[in-house]
Amino acid sequence: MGEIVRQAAGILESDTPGTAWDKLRSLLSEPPDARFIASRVAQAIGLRPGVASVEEIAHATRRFVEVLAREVPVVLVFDDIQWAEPALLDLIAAFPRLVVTSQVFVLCLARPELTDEHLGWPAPLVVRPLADGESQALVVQLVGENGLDQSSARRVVLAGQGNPLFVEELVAFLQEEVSAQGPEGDHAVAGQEVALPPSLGAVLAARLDALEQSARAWLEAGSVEGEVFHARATEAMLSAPETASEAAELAAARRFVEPTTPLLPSESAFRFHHLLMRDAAYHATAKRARANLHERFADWLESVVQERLPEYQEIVAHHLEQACGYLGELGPVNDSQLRLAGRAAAHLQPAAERALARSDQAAAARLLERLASLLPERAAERPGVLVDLAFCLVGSGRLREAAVALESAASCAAATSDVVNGWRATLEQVWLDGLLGRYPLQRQVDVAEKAVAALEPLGAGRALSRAWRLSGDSLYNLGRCQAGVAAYQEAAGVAVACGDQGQEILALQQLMVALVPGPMPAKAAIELCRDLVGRDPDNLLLQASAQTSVGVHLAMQNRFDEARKELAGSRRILTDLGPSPLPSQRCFLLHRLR
Amino acid sequence: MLEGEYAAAEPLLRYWCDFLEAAGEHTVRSSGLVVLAQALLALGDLDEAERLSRESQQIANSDDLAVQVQSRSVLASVLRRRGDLAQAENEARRAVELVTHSDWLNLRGERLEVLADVLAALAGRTRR
Repeated sequence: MGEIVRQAAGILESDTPGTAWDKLRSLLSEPPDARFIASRVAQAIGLRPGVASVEEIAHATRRFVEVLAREVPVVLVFDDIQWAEPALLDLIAAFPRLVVTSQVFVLCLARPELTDEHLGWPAPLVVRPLADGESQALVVQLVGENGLDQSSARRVVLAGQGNPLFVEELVAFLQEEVSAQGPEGDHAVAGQEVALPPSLGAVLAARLDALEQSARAWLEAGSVEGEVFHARATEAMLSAPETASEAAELAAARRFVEPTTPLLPSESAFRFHHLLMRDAAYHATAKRARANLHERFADWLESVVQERLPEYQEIVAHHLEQACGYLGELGPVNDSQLRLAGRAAAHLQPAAERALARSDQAAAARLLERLASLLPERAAERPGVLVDLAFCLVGSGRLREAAVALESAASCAAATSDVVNGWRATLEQVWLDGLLGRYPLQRQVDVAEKAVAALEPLGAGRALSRAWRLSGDSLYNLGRCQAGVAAYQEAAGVAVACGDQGQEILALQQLMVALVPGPMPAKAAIELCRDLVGRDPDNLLLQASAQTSVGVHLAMQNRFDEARKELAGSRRILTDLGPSPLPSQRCFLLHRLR
Repeated sequence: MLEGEYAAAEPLLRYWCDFLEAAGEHTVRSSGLVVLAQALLALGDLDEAERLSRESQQIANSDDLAVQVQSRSVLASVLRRRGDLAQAENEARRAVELVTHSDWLNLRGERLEVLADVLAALAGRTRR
């Protein structure tokens, strides 16, 4: 996402956040919803803070692409999407259905496990092995009609098993062997029938082994960044940076890499000839060296992006985690490892908070799991992180894992005398037990009330808001709508007071649901909903909730035409937002007049 | 469901309930099962509607008002359609009783509607 947005808007990593924002805004100056699109897209890539939901971000992203495609057709290429977060897969899958007014071509590359795990995906175009004749043609294309003797070419075709990369690498291997024999070696090598490596991995390793030390070190450094890597990063990672340009020329001449479009626009970059080539270089590096290179890359990236660090924090954290992990494999925990873990955690925490703010619970859960694994047992942040993790795990349908996280959270909170997070763990535990049918609703209300009494004097706004919301949910399900609405109002009020917009929006949405069947007169309910939506007019889910609630209340007043308009507006928003991870909520929002 | 497309709703509801069952979740699933039972009732599959409404009652919290009263209403409707009007009246009256003190007004109205249907059937039988 970040690459697409930065490339389209011409945002450089050296731009200040203000300049980057201006570039994004000017790219989107025309459409009436430009401010909405820009703010959501900026939030998604970490350029600006915000609490828009993952659905709003997906909608804004589709609109962003539509705007780009007004003038010329747009081609979006997503590589290796078998590794994508569920939210990104949902976004890509919805493109053909929702982007209908623009010329957009979406190409996704994936390994077969994508369709094994996501049954609803369209049938893929499967890339099948080359036939022998096609492999033969590839050999000729690579070395010409007489580049290899017939017997060697035949052996390459058979050994390559229709895998074009394997064929290419075998040809390169043979050429390098020939070259190593000197100018007279061509026929001799062919005649001796050089033994071909038995697998693709083996031929890649053999070619790397035969490479000069400086070029190999350069490739190893590049492999730490990934399939695409930046020249200046690699230079900064090498202990002998003066060898970098010569090493780059050599590696390119041997077709290990080729120049490519950089991911950071003001840099120059190379791409490994294939991801497996990158993997071979990476695995050829000793673990201690890998740890060192990962840390150096994280240092370099931090130094390059500076103020725009939030956009890159997950990447920086990944490299620091890798460095920490490799050191952990090499010996007992030491200061270096603890320092790296602390640095990684410091980057993961805000990244997880951003995912939580956009209600992308699957992504937040993964980030929080990584964060929890980095924090020492007695770390002050640990109980809070584990409670957040449990909340996200429940939201992702991983209830058993949530129970384990909550147990750890409660014991960590007790060990560190963390009263607030102790209560947060209790509240989530009660909620989870309620979902598992193990905790009567009235007892949930009782616990929530006790939590409110304990948390109020502590000024723990976020936990207090959660307690009120739990109380609201339980009261509503007990059939006490008015009391539920009052609890949601408390939850929203506390959230506003402590500046937690995410908690506020959650409470308001639930409040507007509870208004519909409850006893509040329709006129008062309509006024309340219109007042509440004014608190964040750009929040589409809040607007949809309000329009639905208002529509139903208008119908109660026999004002059917107005009611239909409100419900149509709500329906339009929900259709634009695409599929929901919360079907029960959508069922309410899609309320229709009968 | 709201548009009367019960056959289309059924597989979606089943998928949702199966997903929640696999996750070990009970509360939201119990609500889903009641709605699924309503769809099956509308499609005329009385046995499955009865089985699911009983299951939802069993796995829901005993004080989860919506599930407890809606499942009884489905049962009352199943029994009415089978002609077991005395038992249907029991279930319908129990649902009304449970919801009497609630300010969840729609839920109260709908339970009274179900009871009215049962009473109308009883009156018809008496008249015959």
